[in-house]
Amino acid sequence: MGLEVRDLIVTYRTPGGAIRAVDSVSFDVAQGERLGLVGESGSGKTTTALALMQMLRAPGRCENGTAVIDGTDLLALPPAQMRGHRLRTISYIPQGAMNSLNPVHTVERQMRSVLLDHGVASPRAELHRRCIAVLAGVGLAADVLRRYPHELSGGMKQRVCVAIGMLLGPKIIIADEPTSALDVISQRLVMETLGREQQRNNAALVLIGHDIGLMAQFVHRLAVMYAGRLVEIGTIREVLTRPRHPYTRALIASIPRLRDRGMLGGIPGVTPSLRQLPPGCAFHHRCAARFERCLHDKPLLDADPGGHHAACHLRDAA
Amino acid sequence: MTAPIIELAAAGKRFGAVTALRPISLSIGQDNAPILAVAGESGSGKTTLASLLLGFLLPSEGEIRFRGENIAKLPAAKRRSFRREVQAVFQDPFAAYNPFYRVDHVLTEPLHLFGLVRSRHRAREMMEAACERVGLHPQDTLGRFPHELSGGQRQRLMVARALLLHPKLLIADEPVSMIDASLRAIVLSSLRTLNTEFGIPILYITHDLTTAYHVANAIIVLYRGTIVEAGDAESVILNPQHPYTQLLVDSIPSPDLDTPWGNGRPLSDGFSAPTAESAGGCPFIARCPHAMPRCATQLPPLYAQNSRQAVRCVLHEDAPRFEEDGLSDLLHLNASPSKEIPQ
Repeated sequence: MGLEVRDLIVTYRTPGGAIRAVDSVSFDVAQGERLGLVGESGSGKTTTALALMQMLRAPGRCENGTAVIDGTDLLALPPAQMRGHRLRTISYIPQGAMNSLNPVHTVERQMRSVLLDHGVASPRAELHRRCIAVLAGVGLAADVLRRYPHELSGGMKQRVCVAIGMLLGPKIIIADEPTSALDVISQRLVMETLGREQQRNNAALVLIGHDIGLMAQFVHRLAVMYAGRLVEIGTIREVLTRPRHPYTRALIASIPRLRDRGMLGGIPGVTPSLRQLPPGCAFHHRCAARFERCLHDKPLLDADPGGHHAACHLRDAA
Repeated sequence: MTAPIIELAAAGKRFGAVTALRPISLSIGQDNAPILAVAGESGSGKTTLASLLLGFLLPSEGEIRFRGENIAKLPAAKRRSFRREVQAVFQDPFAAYNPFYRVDHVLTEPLHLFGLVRSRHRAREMMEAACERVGLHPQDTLGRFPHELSGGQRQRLMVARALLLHPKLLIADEPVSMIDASLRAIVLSSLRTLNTEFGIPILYITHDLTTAYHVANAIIVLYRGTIVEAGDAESVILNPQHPYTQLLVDSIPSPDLDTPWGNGRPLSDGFSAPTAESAGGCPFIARCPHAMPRCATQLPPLYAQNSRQAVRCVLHEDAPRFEEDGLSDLLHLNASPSKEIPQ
């Protein structure tokens, strides 16, 4: 049960040749489970989400992979059918979702159009009640329905987007940095409502982001992406307390904490260009623990999607 | 003591009926080159403060002075030096560049505008030096288009641009909120280098208290245009006294799995609703767990907690009142007698 993603490959065709933005990504998310997906900009997090939604735009193309929920492979569906599954089976809350609200329509009109588009043929009063109930779920009063987006704060707009995402009770929610533009208090409010709604629906949730603190407080399992590949996956506790991949370790070490004042650790070096990935491990030029094998032999993540795994030769050497 | 670089003389800003920023008196000098953090959520007035200091907005009351002169009435020559000496780094490193120009443009333009170089060769030298100061390799950076650089690189180039003009004050408005956590450290380090090596005071505007803790010496916490707490950055963040500052600190998601978010206390509901100003009372009353009837009618003054902290809350009314014109001394924004008090 839940979502099973296998061997997802996404390429972008560019004048300089095709580049792999997502390379052989596999993971599971069970119903009721929250999986975090972290990595730097350009590591392929959002591209993974867009591929699952069949929302990639040219020159992006999903080359390979399956994403199965309840026996249905979302990636194999023709566009018209996939349209019916968006919001109903799988909801995507994009980064900066609050800016995706239509500025000239009220919140109610935008929510109602979701219901009507998905063939919810109920009387207007019933649709109105349903919108109120979903808004209440994200902690917003019914009068928000009559408002236009510009009349709401960023945190409120973001919660309206969560409400729209939850309107049809999807089985999978993908939230792409839902709080990156918000202050810490609005962030907490949005995440609390998102978490509550996800639990109520027993939905599988994928949270994309780069804030390890937020992940620690919210997800059950954590997957780390680097240069298009998953490099580590495990329970949040395993990954944060016993990280196996040197990149994960560097990522954790770079989190600023309220201690050791003045110590700001970044990750030295830059992410390699996907156009010219080095042979072997894509992280090797930034890795202090590299050895000869890392320069030519690409480490793979264990095929078994459960458990705690890292795509690193160190685990074999150990 | 020479006139401070910039001074807010009881300067405040209202937009119609909304008070964006209550009058503040503050001056930043060069002798002590502080990094002052201004923290608060959206709508707290922190960007209004930055806009006032940059002369983008004129205050509704009081005035802003650059080297002792009201910036609204600066003669042309002095206005040019104000524009050069007070530099800004903004939030969005993606919107700050014209995608049709190579990134060099943001460096060459101010050099020519302010007539700082005589030759191309000299300009190139200065640009390369500025890049190196912020940890960018000139050969990998100059000559590229904005889309070829990461957010962190672009933001560091903005810091390099500011540096090129030898500013006397840098205003950084949420400089790292739009870039990856792993790159933030690098941008913040480059800001800190500017401060320590070149003695440039920095106003660091942020909603992120964790980064403020690491880079700032002093902090002002704003809530709906009102200073609710101010003082030494370490004391305020590790030992917050105002209920709002406490909420801000509690709401930082900790990477430590055994520290529950918000200390395990759920956020009170009815949180986001009130936008109307409470009638002359404490702006935080609607969200405050300690609210009392008198908080609705009376805005408390600042109370001195110790020599390092001042807090605007009746919970601290037993403490001595803090005179608001003493803010610059409390925050050590100028070389001042209070500096000699042993720490």
